[in-house]
Amino acid sequence: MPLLRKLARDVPAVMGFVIIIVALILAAFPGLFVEDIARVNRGNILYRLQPPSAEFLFGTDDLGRDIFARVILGTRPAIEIALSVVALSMAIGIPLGLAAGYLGGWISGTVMRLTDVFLAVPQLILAIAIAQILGRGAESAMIALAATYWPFFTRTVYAETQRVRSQLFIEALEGIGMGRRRIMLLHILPNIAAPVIVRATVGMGFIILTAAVLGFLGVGATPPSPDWGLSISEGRKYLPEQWWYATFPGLAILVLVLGFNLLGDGLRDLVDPKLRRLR
Amino acid sequence: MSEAPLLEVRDLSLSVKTDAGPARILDHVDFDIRPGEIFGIVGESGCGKSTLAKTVLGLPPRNSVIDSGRVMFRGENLFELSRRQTARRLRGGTMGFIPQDPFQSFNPTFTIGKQMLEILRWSGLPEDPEGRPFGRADRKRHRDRLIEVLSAVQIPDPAEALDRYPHQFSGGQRQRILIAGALAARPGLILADEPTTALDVTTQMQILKLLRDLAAEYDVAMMFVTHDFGVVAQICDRVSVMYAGQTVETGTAADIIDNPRHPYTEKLIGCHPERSGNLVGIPGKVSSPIDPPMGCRFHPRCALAERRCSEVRPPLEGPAGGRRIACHVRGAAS
Amino acid sequence: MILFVIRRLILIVPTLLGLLVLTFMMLRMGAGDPAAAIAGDNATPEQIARIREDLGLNDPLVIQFWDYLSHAARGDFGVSAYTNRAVGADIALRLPATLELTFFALLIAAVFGIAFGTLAGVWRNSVFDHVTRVVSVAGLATASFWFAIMLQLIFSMDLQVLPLRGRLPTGMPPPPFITGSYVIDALFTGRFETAWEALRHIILPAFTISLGGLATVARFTRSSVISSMQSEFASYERAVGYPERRVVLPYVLRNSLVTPVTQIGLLFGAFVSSAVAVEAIFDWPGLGSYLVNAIFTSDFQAVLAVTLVIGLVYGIVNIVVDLVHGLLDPRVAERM
Repeated sequence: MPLLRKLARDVPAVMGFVIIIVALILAAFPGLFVEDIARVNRGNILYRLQPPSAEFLFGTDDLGRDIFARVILGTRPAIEIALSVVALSMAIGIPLGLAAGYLGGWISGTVMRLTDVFLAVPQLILAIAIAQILGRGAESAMIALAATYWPFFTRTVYAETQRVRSQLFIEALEGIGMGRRRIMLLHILPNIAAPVIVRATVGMGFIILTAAVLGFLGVGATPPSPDWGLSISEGRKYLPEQWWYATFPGLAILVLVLGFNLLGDGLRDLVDPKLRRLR
Repeated sequence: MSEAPLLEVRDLSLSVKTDAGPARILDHVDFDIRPGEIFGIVGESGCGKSTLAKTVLGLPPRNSVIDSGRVMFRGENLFELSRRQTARRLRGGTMGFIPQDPFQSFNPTFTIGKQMLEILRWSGLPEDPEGRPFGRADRKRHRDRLIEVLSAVQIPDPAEALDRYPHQFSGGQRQRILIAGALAARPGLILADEPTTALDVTTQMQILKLLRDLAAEYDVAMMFVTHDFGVVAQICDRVSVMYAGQTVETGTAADIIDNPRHPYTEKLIGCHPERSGNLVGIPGKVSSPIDPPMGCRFHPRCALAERRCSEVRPPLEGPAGGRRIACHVRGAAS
Repeated sequence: MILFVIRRLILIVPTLLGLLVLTFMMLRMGAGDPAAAIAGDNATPEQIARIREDLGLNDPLVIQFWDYLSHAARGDFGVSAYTNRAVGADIALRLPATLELTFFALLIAAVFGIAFGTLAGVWRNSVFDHVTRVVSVAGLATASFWFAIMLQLIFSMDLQVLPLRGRLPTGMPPPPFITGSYVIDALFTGRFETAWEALRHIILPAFTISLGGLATVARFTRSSVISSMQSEFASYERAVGYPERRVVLPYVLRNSLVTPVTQIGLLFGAFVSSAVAVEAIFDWPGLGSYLVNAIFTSDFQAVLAVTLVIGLVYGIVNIVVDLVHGLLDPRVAERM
């Protein structure tokens, strides 16, 4: 695969890829890095608010829990929520975008007006409202984010489908009488896969950030979850003396989102020939 | 020769650094252009003719090195001028430039007038013919000059045209405006880099006729870069044929077209469907400038190639300013 | 041009209506009982029932929606269950604060983003370019609420050079209302000390909000500067003798601005998003913190009205962006 080899030469993209792989390992096997998972949510009040040390790399929180361990354990919910939101948004957004872009007519009009409505206010605001209505919790945060993120996929797929649709080979397929559904699934979808993958990669980072805001505002994960956004909100009360409490979970968000953004950038450069030329 | 040449390109060699090593883009290129004549540089794409034009303008490609030779303009060695002097005295001022693509060469967000005034502003002409200062403050006179050259290239309502944007003109009109831009600063030489390639055939004819007329009217010499012997036949007085960075044949256009000597020139003229009646491509590809063939660079594609062609580079032979050819088989020495 | 603006304004209406329907249905179906919220914790079921009746909450949804719409059209957005004031008045009080904040953030993002992006593009592959790239990628990956806290930690708590929260020091009276921006209004009325304090208060929140936008603008500017510099017209400009700085300024730059400017419309949404959390952190009395509060207290009327207002402002910003786009690119202006 010459494309993959090209990607492998893009140092930042490789860095992003490595960050994601490490994060996936942390999420899948936290036990490798944290000795006693069960104790992560049960603190030891004797070790309350300890500064970073050899024993507690990132210090301890107000309940005497090891922040390093909690940051590691926070990887899984962050990736889980981002993966499920992106998957759900794709499941809603791609079929709608395909139908709107390929079939046109009233379907296209309706779908695109619907995305207009969803995009008429910033995504976060709608997401907070939905999450609040559904009740506090990681699941409602997930549903709220998916319910507000799908229009972005629809827009991307719509634009790309329109581009592909006007190409000659689609006309030829229509000419030989191939069904619309087959054309959409077998011929258009593979041709628009690349920008959708880029959108999904960048979307992972974006969702992690937005989910963290929900957690921070208190409409996302609930204590004692090691959710990073929630931890920052808890740690904020102990500033400035116990600075480490709020600092490290934020750094974790930064690194993970950076990973997705770097990889997404590299992929975008590969996919978009115009940008590729700039290299 | 009765007149001193306006532009002398002597033994010019230029290499570009690439990942795979240095690439000789121009190899001992040698020709001169006399005042008032239209001189054609002909060759396939990739033969180095555009690089040659840009180098004469003082804009050699990035990462390039001049390996040998010099470019003399009105007796001044271009390579001995500072960058700034080259820019201000030679480009714009005494050399005009007509680019290849009229659609892409204008900045779409500024008016024609603003962009053309800029050419005059940086042309570096010290004074106008009447001896009045041609300073940048004197916008009014610059504007009048632009209107003058725009009418010369037959743009209707030139004063109004200055306030319009590039996209409001057709391709042919834009090329006329670019020609006006090249004329504006009263140059002695205009470099035209395939100025008609992007246009349709009818417009191409009109532009060529216009260029011929203007060259005569304003007594300006022209270096005309093209790949098309049909265009050469219509406009050029003399011509130099280039292959893979080397000059293979020079002479008057009529002589070369009627009686091509170098096998490459022969093939190139044969490629032109109007002349030969059929489409004959030249077999093989232009040789790589990174690892050029020994001897004559054309020999791998040449039907007449002999053993010495792959061993010794044929020199460009013939009387200075007359018919010259670089070929062992067909050359003057043979 | 005027026709274009009118047409675009009319086009906002159905979108906003759709948004209203969406929010209305969502809140009615899911949110806590607004009657209970209004009545307070000690209300008897009978009292709540009476409030329900008064508010028309027992009518069919369509009628309720129509009721709301006809009142809203007259500027009556109902009474906030939380503040007990007219929602319209609350918004009028808080909208200027948010607009001032986002406007300053936009200014920071545009000025620094364009400057850094242009220099990075002109000096491509220089150290400056690489540093800008790393910083802007990191900027896009930073959670704004966390960044806000870090800024507070460093500049307000540790170095103590900038204030921690609010728009003005406690006790300092705000300047008379002209534009709604404390900084500008204080300057207009000659209260330089107030203007200075207001500026000091807005720096940290505005910078926090601008961070992602700054990075975006810088990246878009950089890539369009590079592609403009490699364009045919730039090479023509060099060939006819423009000095290099003249090729870049203004010729390449004007072209390169087109893309980043169109991004600013999208950025505004991101700015409002981050304003929600950032306003809460800096105690900035704007719409964002108002909305969060309203959502948590099931303040039905307030949520609807704020969503509507944000949607309206968002729509207007996008029209303005299109107009600026037209100013920069004559080909776009022609289609208006």
